[in-house]
Amino acid sequence: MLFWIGLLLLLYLVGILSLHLHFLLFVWVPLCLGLLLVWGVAIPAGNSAGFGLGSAEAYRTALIALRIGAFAALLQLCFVPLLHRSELVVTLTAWGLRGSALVLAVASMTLIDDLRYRVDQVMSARIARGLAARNTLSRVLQLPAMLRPLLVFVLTSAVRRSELWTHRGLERRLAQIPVENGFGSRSVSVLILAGAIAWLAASLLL
Amino acid sequence: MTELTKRSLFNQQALALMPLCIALNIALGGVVHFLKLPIYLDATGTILATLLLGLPAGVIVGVASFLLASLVISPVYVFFVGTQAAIAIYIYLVARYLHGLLSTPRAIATGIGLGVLAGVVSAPIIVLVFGGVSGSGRDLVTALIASSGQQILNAVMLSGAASEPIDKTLQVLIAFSLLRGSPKGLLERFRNPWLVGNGFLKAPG
Amino acid sequence: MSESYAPAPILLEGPNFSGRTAHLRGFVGLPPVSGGELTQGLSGGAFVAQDSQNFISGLATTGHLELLLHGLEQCPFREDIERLTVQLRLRECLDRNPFTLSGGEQAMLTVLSAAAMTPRRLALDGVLEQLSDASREVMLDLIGGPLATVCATRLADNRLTHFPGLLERFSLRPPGAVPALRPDTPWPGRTTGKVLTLAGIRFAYRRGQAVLDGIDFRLQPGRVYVLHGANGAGKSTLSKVLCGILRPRSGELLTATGQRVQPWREPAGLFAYHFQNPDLQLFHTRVRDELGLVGEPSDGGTFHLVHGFGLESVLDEHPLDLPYVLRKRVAMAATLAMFRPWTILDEPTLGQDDANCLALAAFLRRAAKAGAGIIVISHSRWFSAQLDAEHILLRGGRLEAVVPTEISAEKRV
Repeated sequence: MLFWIGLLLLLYLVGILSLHLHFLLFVWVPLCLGLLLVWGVAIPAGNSAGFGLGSAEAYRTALIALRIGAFAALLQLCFVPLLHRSELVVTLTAWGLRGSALVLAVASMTLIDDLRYRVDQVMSARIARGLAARNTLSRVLQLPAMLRPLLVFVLTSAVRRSELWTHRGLERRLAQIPVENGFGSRSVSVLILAGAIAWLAASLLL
Repeated sequence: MTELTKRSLFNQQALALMPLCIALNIALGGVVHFLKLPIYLDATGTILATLLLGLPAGVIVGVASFLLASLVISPVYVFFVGTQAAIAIYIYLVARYLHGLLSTPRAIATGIGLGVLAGVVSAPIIVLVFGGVSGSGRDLVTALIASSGQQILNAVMLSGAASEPIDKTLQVLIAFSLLRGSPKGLLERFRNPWLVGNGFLKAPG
Repeated sequence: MSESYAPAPILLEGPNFSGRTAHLRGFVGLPPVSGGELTQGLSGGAFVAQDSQNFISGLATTGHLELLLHGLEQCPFREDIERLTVQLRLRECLDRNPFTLSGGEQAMLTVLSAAAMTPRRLALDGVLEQLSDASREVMLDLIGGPLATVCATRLADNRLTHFPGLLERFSLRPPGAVPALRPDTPWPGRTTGKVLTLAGIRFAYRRGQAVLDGIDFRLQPGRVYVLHGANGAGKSTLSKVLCGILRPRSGELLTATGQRVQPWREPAGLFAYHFQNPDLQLFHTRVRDELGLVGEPSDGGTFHLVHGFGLESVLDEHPLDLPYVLRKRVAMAATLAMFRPWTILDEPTLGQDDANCLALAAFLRRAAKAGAGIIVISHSRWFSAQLDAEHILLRGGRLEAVVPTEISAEKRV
């Protein structure tokens, strides 16, 4: 518990507390409700695994909830260096990514914005064409038609961009970007990640 | 060393397509959210990548998109990278050797199989890490089964096997219909034996 | 090659399907269509086409890094490029992810990064069409100035035809009969426009200042409206509000009888909206289905559109398999085929050659005369002049009627 509060403080310091709170509200709270339902209500109190509300097993269940929360906070902390856009390549290189792996990582993170924009455009266009469906079933049935322009966009983009990369030698150029010791120095990130995994393993086994 | 093997594994075009599939996997979450649909599209990009580019690319797209989702959406995704890898392997095997996407009935069967697989593969993680819950309506089913005296692992597997097939069948059908309706000239650039085998492309000659 | 080597940029002129793209691609060492075999970076050339988002590397997280990736540090006219980013008001954009920029900004960034590579040969295929006249002029200064000392440039650009510049011109001819727009087509005229009054329409995105700040205007069918406004003035926001994609914060639409209309309740009921980029609004697997054609010529109205837009020969093709010129036309025809009282066309002439532009202008004039409500958004001064239109300008979140001379003055500020 204390550990988590400490992490929250750190998250606040690096400025991504809101991201974590979002996680708490939309993922963690439903998880806790689920835990309460399964362990507290459904499993009879006499069962060795169930606790009935108020027994000693409640402590273990609460522990699970805390563990997930703390782990999430820790993980988000590890990824902080990646949120600094302008240093992404430097950070990833410092983490040891090279060649195709580096291209893949940088491109996926950069292209999310493109795809989000396209998704938004496709949905607007569908409304503008008067094709928007009203009830849930027809919306499900329309999904393929909605996603088709997206898939074609993705395929065309891949063909065009692969040509661009080769023609301009961009992969080679990417490798030549000088690596300085940026915000996410490799050792710190590796240390945090290793710590998180070790701690998770330990708490699972306890 | 990794650089060398990767280089021989993917051509430029595959390398350019993979990040787009990863980004698509994440952006699709927005579609579902916007349309307020009761399904997930979390495996569609992985299925498409596997069908278009083969097994290694499919696994990488699945794993990488969930790693990235754990960064930009919610950290819990990181625990399900194994499920994504299993999805890619399953789709590859079924499409390549059983032509599981040759027709709509086959695609439905493939989808049901995928759902059962996904439910079973993710169950141990759900039990170990999350105490058996997923924070969704599915927990009601789990609770129901558990209250009848079943072990928690069994309860989670059963609830997974009950809810996942619907969702995964829809996703397989969506991927199937997307590839069927794509311009053939474009698909031709990604020609491979299983795209031909499942009737998405005509055999040469 | 000597220092004095300074070839003037060459403009390739010619109608659609005259092979300009293939020529340009060959010029920089690319196969005629994308996807062919290619050897790595031997040619020292750079190519940019009108789908500019595909010419952003995806390997740089900000516009500035995109330029650095393309070798801005080593570029001999680095200072010129940096000066241009100020002139083109790209400075703030350079700190953002290139994929969050608007179409015009992306187009400028791709041309600048291609220039930063200091290529021997540069080919620009229609990418300058998306820019306003003022921005295009600035770009041409770079291409014909510092860049020309090291690089031979060739361009294809339908709008430069009307641009008095010092470009050398070179004409290509199409190989045979190709589908063109037909200028003589009458407007099928099933519906007529409605008089509409926009009263105090305000809109703001979630965290931002008002984009539309009290739009008061009376729309009256009979003449084409041309909507002007600088980049980011809110032209597409206004279109989305009218179409019903966005719900205004306040304000209302009134019919001639004073009845209130709420577009967001019935999107696309009153205004149909054709987007600038055709590729994301084509949803069907055959052009026929896209246009909503059922059966044979029974559906008279839409068949007039098919004829007018020169689409007979492609009715059974996959819309997304067609070349850009035709994709744009299919998307436009599909929007018009909704026969709503009003239709908004965003940059309808992209990719279309002069003859097609004139045919489209004639068609739209006739449609407006027949009573259809037509609103055109276009950066092409030449095309706007063909429309015999009412000009309206979106400025500071407000809409007003203007005369064309005022607009060119506004854009130069």
